[in-house]
Amino acid sequence: MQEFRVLMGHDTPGYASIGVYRDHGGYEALRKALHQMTPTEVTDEVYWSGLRGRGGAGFCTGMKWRFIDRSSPVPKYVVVNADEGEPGTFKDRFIMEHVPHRVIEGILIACHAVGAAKAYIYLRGELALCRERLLTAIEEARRAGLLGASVLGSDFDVDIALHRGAGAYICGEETALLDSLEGRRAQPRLKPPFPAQAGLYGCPTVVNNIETLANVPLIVEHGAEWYRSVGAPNPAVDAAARTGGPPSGFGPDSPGTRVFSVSGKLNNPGVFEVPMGTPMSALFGLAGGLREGLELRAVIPGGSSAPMIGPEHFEIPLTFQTLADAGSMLGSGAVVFIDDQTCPVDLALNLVEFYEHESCGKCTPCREGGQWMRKVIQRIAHGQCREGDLELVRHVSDGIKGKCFCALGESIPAPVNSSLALFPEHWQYHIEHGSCPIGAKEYSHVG
Amino acid sequence: MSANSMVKLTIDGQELTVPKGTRVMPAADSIGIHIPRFCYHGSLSVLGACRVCLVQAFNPVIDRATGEPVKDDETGEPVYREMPTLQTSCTLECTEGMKIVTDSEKVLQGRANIIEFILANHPLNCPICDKGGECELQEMTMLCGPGRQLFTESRLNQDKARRIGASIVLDQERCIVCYRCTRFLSEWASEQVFEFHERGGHSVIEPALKEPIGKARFAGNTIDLCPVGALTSEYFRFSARPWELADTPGVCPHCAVGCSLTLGGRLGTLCRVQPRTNYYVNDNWICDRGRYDYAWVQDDRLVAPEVDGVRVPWETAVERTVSALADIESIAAVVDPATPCETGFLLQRFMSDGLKASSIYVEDDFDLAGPFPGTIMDLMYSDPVILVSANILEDQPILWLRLNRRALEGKLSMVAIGAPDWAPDLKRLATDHADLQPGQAVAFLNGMADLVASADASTLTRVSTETGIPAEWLRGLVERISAAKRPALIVGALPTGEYAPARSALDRLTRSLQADRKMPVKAGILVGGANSRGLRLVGCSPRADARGSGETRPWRQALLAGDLNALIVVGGDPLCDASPELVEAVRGLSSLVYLGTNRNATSELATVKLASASFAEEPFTFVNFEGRLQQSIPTNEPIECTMPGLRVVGRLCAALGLWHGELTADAVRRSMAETAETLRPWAAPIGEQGEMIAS
Ligand SMILES: Cc1cc2nc3c(=O)[nH]c(=O)nc-3n(C[C@H](O)[C@H](O)[C@H](O)COP(=O)(O)O)c2cc1C
Ligand code: SF4
Ligand code: SF4
Ligand code: FES
Repeated sequence: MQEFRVLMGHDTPGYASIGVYRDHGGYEALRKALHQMTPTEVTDEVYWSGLRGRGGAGFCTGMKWRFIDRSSPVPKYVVVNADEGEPGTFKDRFIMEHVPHRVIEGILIACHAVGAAKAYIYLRGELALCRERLLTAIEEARRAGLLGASVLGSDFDVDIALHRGAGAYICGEETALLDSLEGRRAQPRLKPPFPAQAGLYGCPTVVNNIETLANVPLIVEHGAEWYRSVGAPNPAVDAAARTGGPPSGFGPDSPGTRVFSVSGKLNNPGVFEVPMGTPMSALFGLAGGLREGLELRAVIPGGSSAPMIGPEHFEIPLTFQTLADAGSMLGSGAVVFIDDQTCPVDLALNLVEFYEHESCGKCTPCREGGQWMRKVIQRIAHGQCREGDLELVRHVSDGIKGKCFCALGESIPAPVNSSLALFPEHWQYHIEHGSCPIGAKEYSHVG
Repeated sequence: MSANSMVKLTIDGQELTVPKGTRVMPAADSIGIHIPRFCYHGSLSVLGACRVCLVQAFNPVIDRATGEPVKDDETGEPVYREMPTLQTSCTLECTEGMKIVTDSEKVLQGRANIIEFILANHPLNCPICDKGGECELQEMTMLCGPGRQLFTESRLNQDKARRIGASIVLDQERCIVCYRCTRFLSEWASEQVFEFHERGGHSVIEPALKEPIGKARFAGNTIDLCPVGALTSEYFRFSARPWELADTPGVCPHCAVGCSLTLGGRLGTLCRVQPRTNYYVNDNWICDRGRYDYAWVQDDRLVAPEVDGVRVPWETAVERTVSALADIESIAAVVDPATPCETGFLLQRFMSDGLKASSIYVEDDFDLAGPFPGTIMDLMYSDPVILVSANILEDQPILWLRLNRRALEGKLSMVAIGAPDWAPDLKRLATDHADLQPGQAVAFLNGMADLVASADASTLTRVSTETGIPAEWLRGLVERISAAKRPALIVGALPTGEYAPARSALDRLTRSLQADRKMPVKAGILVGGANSRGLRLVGCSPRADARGSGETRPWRQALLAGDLNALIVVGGDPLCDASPELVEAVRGLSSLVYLGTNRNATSELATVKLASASFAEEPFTFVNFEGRLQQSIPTNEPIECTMPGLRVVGRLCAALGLWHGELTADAVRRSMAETAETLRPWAAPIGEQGEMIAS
């Protein structure tokens, strides 16, 4: 059922070391990119593969690289977003721990494609093992002549630096990440200019997710067509690729595999790589289903920012488009299965608390609305409801929606509104009785 | 501007055309549509943080194939698509064909949401808040707030009434996190004395850990910028409600920049001094000296005329002054450079037409240095700006601030050159600096003139030896200047004997720099006080052979030599720190007449004290270093028995038959205009930004 591409070799002993990685053909894609392809050809291959960003927004990676003006006299940068902090998301961590050299190889190819001599990995501070593995991988690569001056005998010089974050979810937002990397208070920047125009230190910059970049060596090695041979590609894009004409939009295009972080009260939660378009139910099966006695009630299909959807979408094939059509999103690829013993009010509280705590404080609706929302839901969850509280929650939610500076704030209403829509009777019960109809306090949020 | 660098749009149905890149908020301002705002400020970078400036935006639908706007089949009208969410007008760029709606139900609702959020954690203790009455949050709440309070949870508690340095009081609870203060400090002043700590709802403005506010020169501007009562002035706090102040336009008396002010007086007390917007001079700012240094307007005043230490009626004082001076030979007047034009004009008439053998000395080096040949705007659009012993950070702070802003934008570089221990802050903040051997300013200017003509190795070595500046650095500077479209050079105060050689070196340098440049090169000496230039225009200067600077000023020497019989001092305190010999010489005079506002060393020695009104109590005009004529309108009546300087000197003139009729500022200005062609501008109305009358 699983299709290991990004995770290929993760179960091979020693794969995190350069020797084993190279024994299995590692860094051949880099060699090919440097010796047999021009940077433009590399970018084109990635473009036509239809690879879309795995960080959350799903932006076409090749397109992002094309935005970089290679002829600009200033330095260009590749910045790797390894700040993985969205609740429910832990696949980048798995990738970095198990296949670190694929990540490094992807970064090097990206640098070659956009003309960058320096890449920064912005790593979530808590990920200690990832740090160790990446630092080792960088050192090994350096010693093998894959990193530094004249990589593999070419005229390509490149270096990678690792920067540890200090614990703020907002640092995953690409422009706040750049500010943090520059030593400032992490707050998102005004766009435009986009990082591709004026990113790190005002220079053209590509920001990509770990998983996105781990796909790149495979695309370079096996080609765009191979990449598109699995998943849910849009035939119109294939047709355009054959004529070289402009694609009619990548909207419904979801080629390749996706590494999902699957959680919930499951028998076998974890990280699974499956082709795009795999039904949600199959992922549920891979994760061993819910534990004994629990019943599925809802799913968060793409990380905490994605609205919850009901079990009627259980058979939905997981692609960018299908989830958008279902009123949610594929987001960071974190699928959280919600059971009948989880209080939906508590769940909403848990997520709103997260966003309130992580708000950077730049804009009013997120900073103030998040706090207000948390305070009201906290009262409801703790049995101190007041009349009109549900209307108040909706009022605050409407006040936040569509008015925030960045997507963090815009995420606050998602769990609340979807919980309200899916579980109105639970909320109503809380309001009327001042207690939880499930009574499942042992599972609920503490503090 | 060519047509395709302009875009046409409509805002609330009004059509307008603006340069590409203009944001919707300033575009709306330009046609008189005011969109609510907190974080936006025209002189600061665009931030988009408060979200109160929401509008609806519609764009014409463009046919991808043809690139033409899609038209409705039936009506033939262009088809519009609304942007998916409300947009912040301060960040949204105007694009061709865009339609903006600022007053729909949806917009009003969005705005009310934001204001409600801001109010959620706001203390709402307006009755005891010093900002009450001029608080932007109060105004916005009344104008477009939700009109009711749904937030009933507990509010966050933070620090209140914290003293930050000597002048600012911080109330963290009132802060609405608009980042105006921090943006001003980093984008203009390069003094980050405030910073935000924590994040989210706990974001809190704090004095910066690294930069103590004690050294700040411009931080007072954050008080005006703060839309709420989070930052208030220790000096103004609780002294008046803003609506009780009689705000009038003023001009700062503290330096040659002449910042435009708003004077806030109440019941005879000057309660506060604030900047008044003038994009030619001070933008929206003043320095902390201009803002806070006005206690003297209230303290230690001369409140009535005195003769020999006894209060007398004005009649008597005028009579005694005239009789004491009328038949005496050798009288000198010593005039403070912040003396108004009107007073200076009448003084000049009194001295030259009424007294025998008299001369006027202004207490500055302007006669030696000559006027500076450029404006603030000229300097802002120059690059590089080279400062030779010119500490504009201390002496003309707002000029520095405006140049620093351009430097921070990467549009100019400031190069500071002066003695090793001179102006460490200026050097630290400048783009580049070099240490000059003390006393070698003229050598440097001559050297630059030589080097611009030819930067050969031997000249470089010579100039380097003379000035103590490394040859490589000099070469770099000469290259930078030679490549520059429009270099500028400002020289500061020099010892008396160095002005003349400095001026001829500057002439030489300017000529060779000008060579084939289109833009005029601005290079000159910048000295003097608030009205040095105006006083010269109205005729206050000594004969050419009687000029000097500092301790060598001729009136001091004449006094010591026993060549003077009487002295008139107008403003300032030239005898403070006077040597015992000088004091002795003053005691030997037949009279010392002091016309001024305060008790000080000079007034204590005076036989006649003529108590004049302060700059907040009299109408006057100044001409700043650029040659810009500005007028000040009093916010208060002259206190007690004081009189405006022009009335005092006018009555002296009248007593000698040199003035007839009423003694008002207008009458004096009319008389000025009739006296000389160069004084004609005084008869014309003077605009809010002043009028350039000399260059
Ligand atoms: C609040 C917030 C947090 C984010 N956190 C992450 C993150 O931890 N990792 C990540 O790759 N992208 C994150 N993103 C998305 C990034 O802004 C950006 O879109 C992404 O790094 C681009 O890489 P991609 O095109 O390869 O997906 C976050 C976005 C937001 C708004
Ligand atoms: S929505 Fe606003 S406050 Fe929230 S994280 Fe984004 S910019 Fe910061
Ligand atoms: S202190 Fe005032 S100016 Fe500074 S951020 Fe707060 S509200 Fe804005
Ligand atoms: S004025 Fe604050 S977001 Fe526009």
